[in-house]
Amino acid sequence: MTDFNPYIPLAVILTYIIAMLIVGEVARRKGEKTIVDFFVAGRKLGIFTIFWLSAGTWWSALAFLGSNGWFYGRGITFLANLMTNAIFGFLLVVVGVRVWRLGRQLGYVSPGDIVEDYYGSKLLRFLLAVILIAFTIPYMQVQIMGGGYIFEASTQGLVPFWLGALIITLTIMIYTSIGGKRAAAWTNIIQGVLLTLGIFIGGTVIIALAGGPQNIMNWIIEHHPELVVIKSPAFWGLWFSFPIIAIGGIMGPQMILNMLSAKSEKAIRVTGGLLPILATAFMMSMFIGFAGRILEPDLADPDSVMPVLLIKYTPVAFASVILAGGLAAAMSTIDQQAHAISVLTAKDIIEGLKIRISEGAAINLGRAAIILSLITAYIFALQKPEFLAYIGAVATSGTAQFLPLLLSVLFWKRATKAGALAGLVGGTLVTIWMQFAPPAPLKALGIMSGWWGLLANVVLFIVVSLMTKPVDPEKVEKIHELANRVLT
Amino acid sequence: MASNKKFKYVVLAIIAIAYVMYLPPIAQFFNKPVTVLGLPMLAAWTFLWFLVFFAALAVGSIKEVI
Repeated sequence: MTDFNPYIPLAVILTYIIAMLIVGEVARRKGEKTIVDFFVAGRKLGIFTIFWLSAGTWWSALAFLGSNGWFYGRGITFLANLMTNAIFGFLLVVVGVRVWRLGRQLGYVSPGDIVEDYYGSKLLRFLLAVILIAFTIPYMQVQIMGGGYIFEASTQGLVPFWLGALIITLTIMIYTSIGGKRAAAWTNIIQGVLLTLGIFIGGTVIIALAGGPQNIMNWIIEHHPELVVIKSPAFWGLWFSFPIIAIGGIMGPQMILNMLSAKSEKAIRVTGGLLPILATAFMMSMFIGFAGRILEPDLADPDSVMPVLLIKYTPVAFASVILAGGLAAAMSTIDQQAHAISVLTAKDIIEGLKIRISEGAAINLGRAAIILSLITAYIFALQKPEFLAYIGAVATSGTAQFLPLLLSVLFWKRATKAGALAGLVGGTLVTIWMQFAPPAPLKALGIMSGWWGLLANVVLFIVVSLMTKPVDPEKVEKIHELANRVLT
Repeated sequence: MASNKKFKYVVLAIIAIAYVMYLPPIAQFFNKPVTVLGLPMLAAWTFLWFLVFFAALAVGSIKEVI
């Protein structure tokens, strides 16, 4: 490795951060002081913006760092994320288009608007908001941690973890609270492109350093054949259950808001239909992880494989730009989640409690929620206790519990308010149970907690619905008709 | 309209088949420590069903049948 100047990566990263703040300010000037504008960007986001917004929201630091680290340390199971991304695209088309149609025709700006209008239940609106917030903050914490690590690794400790994580947190706090959804969307365009280019270009260079894909494969087959097979029944359970991440991702409040923010149905269709192609990056991650085994076989932290390889084997300016893509991956998810929490708080929690406030007050309350949620996630990120890693894993399993509720609004005529409540609460409790205290025989299957939660959710939903009074048939007919009507 | 509906069911059927190809009972047949066209066998199989799923999804979405 040539002499390393940590001020070069610092300069690159600070340039990127200043660019995000400028974009946030421009977005603020373009915006209007209305709930529709702050929460869903006035429903004006076109195809290009929705595509990169969704890519940035969906792909996080785990995609940039964690994927390579998994292949390095545990082998090929992570390729199940190809199915995860395929299902993500599928749900975006089937569910997202219909959510958009309802939002456009009925004026929805939050997940709670959808469920309360259908079920007539403020309690359901309130509980859904609480559950979504509770499971979103831990995921923000994981992203802030990822960003802090990248900052520290890129500058070789010049900027320590706590300071790097703080800079990221403050940057997001500023541009999201001043610019709302529009700022979060516009920054995501830059972040989405950066992270995609980062993975593909950085990956191409790393693969070349290790002698090319054929050389990498020959070496791995000879020295570590266990990395190219799935080793145990528990890993097959994990392979099968990876798509819960897609379900949790689509049902995350930030993705629901993306659906409501689109200018047209076509924006969501094109995004859902083409976004999975970015998942081919996981094939690249496989080679990056395996290349790491050749070049740096003794890494204590497998998640650091890409930063270490770039810093040690490539020019520092090149490594800095690529790693800025990793930072972008983390920030593009955190800002959407913080913004989503602002909507859940200012709209769904407040209306769930039957409190009436003005639009201006709602926007300011939303800004306060952005600040508080980011501070909370940052404090969690600083603790780094191991058990919080479990909470990070349960995050998407938790938000996935919204799926039966949303599908019932769009497709199932026999659903009832009582069934919806039973399913949502029961599914959430089972998810938490199976994540933190699963019975040994079930844990041995390797299936992620969210699937057990969904099973309980669906069973309770159906059984209780069949025993209780259905939603007013006229309401059902109206909403189903609007959801399935193509808008030109 | 009838041909549109038929096309929709074809697209959904291809997606369903690709999903089945992913499931462990079938994927296990390809769980061997050898390479195929430069990829580990399981990776080559995984990429194949992914391409099938993705192609059907992309066409079905852009043609507005799903």
